[in-house]
Amino acid sequence: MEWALRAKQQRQLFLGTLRFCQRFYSLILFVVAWELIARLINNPLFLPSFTGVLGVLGQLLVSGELLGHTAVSTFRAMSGFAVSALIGIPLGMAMGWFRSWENFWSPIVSLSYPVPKIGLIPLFILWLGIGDTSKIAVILAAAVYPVVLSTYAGVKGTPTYLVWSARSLGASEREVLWKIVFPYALPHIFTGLRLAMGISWILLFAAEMVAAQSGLGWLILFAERMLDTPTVFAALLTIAILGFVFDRVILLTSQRLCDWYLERTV
Amino acid sequence: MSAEAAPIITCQGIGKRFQTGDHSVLALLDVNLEVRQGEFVVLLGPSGCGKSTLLYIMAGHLAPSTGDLRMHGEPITGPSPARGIVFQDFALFPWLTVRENIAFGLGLRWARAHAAERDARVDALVRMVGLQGFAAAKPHRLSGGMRQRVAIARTLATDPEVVLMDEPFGALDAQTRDGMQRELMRIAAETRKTTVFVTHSIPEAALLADRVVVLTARPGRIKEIVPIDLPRMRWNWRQEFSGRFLEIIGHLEELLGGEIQKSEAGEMEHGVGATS
Repeated sequence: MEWALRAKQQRQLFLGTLRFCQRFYSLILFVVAWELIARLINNPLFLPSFTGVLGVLGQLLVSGELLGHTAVSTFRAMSGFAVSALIGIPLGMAMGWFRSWENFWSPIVSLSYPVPKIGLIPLFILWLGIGDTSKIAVILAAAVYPVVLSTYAGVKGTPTYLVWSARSLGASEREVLWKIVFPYALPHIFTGLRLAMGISWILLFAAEMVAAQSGLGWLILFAERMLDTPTVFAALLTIAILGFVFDRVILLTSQRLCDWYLERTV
Repeated sequence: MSAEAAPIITCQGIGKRFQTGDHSVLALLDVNLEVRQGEFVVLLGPSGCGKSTLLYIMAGHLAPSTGDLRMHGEPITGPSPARGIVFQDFALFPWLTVRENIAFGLGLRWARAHAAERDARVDALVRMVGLQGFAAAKPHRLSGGMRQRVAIARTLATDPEVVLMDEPFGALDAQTRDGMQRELMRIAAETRKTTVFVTHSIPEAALLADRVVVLTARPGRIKEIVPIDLPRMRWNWRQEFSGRFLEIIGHLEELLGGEIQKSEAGEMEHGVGATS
């Protein structure tokens, strides 16, 4: 009996591993290819191997250096992201709901959206100094757009019949906005937040590479100057993992809150 | 039935013109109608005749271009919980459960102190529409018929004086539709609500109505008001092969037939699809 149980456990473990491999096989393939090519080239300055980068990552973790930079970068990126959400969601709602807000903001948004925000970094440093504020401002300037535009689209898409139903049930205009329009737009808002999260990280590293004494962006630049390619890769890998984790957090939250949207059939 | 009953809603000379850019469509023209206490009025007409428009005007969601519209003598200027509405596509709030949907209107006006009373009322409505096992489900898990029951319960929850229904069974399959008509008759008998019901189905009109208001093709005008002088609870029209019932259906067919032809001819002429 016991061997049967053990065989069953082993089988489950095997199946679990198999499922994991199936789910992320593209990533596994990518890492294996990277490792093989790096070993063929055999020049860590040009392309360090995956295992080599993991080693460096381990060293940086043990020395505590990586943790400090990660904390600083995460603070900046999350502040920028949070402010874009706090400004973007209400602005997108107002633009989608009130004609006057739409008329006022729509041309401003259209005109300023394509302006490259990385190009604004020197200006923000000029206006806000070299500290965290200018970096958060740059992130805000870029990340707020997807939040505004997707919130706006979600609000605009609210079916008239839902709004009418609520009004006929006695909802005030404010109740219609918060109890009908906002929940209807929520899945779209989450899409905007996911885009904003990615943009926040990208802009953060751009900002940290221009003017900073700390952060993962600074670490990349510093390591490049030292011709320390493995550390560059270790920092890049950290960024990728952080971005992945935060994206999953948003995704899971949206799945929790918007099950009706994801499971709908019609 | 009760020709002497007091009118609740009065429409006088109601007209509606829709303007989009340079293009304008006259949807309704000079509609005069009284909806009386406790009666079941069906608005019947070809598609695109403006019968739904008339219903939305009564609800207060659309303003009439001309005419005078009153409820108990007071002008109707906007939507009100006194006039509940049920739409063809159910219009349930998809992020709320069946219970929460039904409780929506009550939640807006009743303070937390009334929570127990509110719960009891929602429970009663869930039972009334036979959805006891689905109270915690969200609408996307329900069939079309179940969704429409939730919509009806949600509208009845706030105890409106008048229930307006816009082709509520139009999106359902024939079998479900039969069942829902029967259920609506039962609910109407139980609650004695004044109801205005839009449809383009003649049997449905004859089955449910105390009076059928037949509208012409666009622009919608009242062609004839046909009283159905049969006792209510005509459970299923197939069981009602009484001569009188067939006579009424024949009369409605005759009235509507010409209008449908006109409506189709109009579409060919203008090359536009009709909207109801």
